[in-house]
Amino acid sequence: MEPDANQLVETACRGDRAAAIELIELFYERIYAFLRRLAANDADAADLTQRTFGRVWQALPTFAGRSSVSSWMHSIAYHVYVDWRRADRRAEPRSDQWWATRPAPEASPAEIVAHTDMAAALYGSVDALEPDLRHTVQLHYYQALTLQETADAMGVATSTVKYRLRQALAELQRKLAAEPNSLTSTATSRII
Amino acid sequence: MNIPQIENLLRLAPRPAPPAGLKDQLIAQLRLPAARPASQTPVATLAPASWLRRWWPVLAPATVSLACAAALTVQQMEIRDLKQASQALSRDFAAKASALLTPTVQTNDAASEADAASRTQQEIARLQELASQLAAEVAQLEQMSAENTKLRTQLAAPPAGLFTPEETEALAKAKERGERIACVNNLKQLGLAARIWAENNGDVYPPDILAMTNEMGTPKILVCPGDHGREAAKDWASYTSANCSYDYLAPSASITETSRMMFHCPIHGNWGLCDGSVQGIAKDHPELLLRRDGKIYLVEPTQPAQGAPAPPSGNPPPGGSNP
Repeated sequence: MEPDANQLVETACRGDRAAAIELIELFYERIYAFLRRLAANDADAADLTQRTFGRVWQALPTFAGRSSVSSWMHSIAYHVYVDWRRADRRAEPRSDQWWATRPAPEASPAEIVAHTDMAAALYGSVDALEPDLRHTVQLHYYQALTLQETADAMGVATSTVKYRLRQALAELQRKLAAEPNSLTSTATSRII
Repeated sequence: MNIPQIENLLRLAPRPAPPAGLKDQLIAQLRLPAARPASQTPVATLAPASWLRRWWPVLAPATVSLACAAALTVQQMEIRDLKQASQALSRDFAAKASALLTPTVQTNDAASEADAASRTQQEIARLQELASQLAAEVAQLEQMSAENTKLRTQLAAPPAGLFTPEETEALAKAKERGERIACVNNLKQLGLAARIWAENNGDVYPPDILAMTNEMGTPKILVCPGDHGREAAKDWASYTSANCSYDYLAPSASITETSRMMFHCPIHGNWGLCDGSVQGIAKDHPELLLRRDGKIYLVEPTQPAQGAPAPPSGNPPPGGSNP
């Protein structure tokens, strides 16, 4: 996929509009999902996605291939989000827990309820993490970027990404362990 | 819940779906920059070279350092080779020094100043060797002169009837011939001393005789043996013009004027030339001398003056007594 993305960027640099449209089709869903989690708002996420691709087209000739196209675009999206939040002096957005309406597919009703409660608790804990830890978790786990791609997107070292992930997972485990009864009781009550 | 379970759950997190129409909006807002020329480096080829870009700040100084080290090594090797060549040349020069001191004229092509300097040193060494040889000859002649003096005293009052008149005349001729040869030897030593002085003073002969006392060694060579009314100075401190039998004709002359007369013995008519040779020219052959601008030159033997008689057989022919 990445070689194709590189080829598309190269072709788009020569002014090929079709290649640019292919790039949009390839990445706009992931970029929107990333920004949706960051901005916690559909309208803002759509606006930020448009800004991100606007910057992508401007920065297209400067893409040197030092990182993958995916991490390059995530990096632009991340900076667009940071600039947007700084410009409007917005506070760190709180999660609207949209995932509560998204049960895991192909599961029994009980498993769906249990999984939904567990996932809700986990995703809520992720949203309560420090911004750096939360963004790292989102890029690595939600956006399925590799450690190197996550580091490139955030502009930090790979070792920093590893450290943040370890710290985030430990904190998530600690939070989930602190309220197991509530999770279990919630799931049980829903099953009953 | 353990860490792997948390990680699995995080990886299975649902993805927010973009709103309808977002893709169309993005396509509608698509504004590509000006087309990049195809000659520029393509993106695909830059990716493999990313390590070079990343390590360039380290590789560049390392490459420069290696290049400098290589250049220094090559220079050191060249310097060592030149030193070895110089030592070999100096050894060869020392080995061939005796051969180079022979009176053969150096006909090398004077390619460089170093060669010219080395030839000058060789010439000086050769002339000094000749000076030592002539000094030895002078010592031998002095010994012979002492023996002659002894014989002369014996002959001053020969016993009556010891020599016939013919024998007496033959003895007088032999004596006069010996004095002439000693005079020629003196002039050759003077010419050699002047040449040594000129080699050390810009190829110009000394302005007067006293300037080259270091090169002459003794003031005795300034007195012609046939000049019985003149005595040699004991040392240079007591030397005056009365202690010199010869005329110095080429003060501050250039050594390139080889045919110019430098010394003259008015008693025997011997002439010392600027090339170091000595010519015996009788007084009745003035056509062999060319006077011009107060200077006296020897006419070349191949261009004798018209109607001039041949030089007397008793004198050495011109050019016949080169050093």
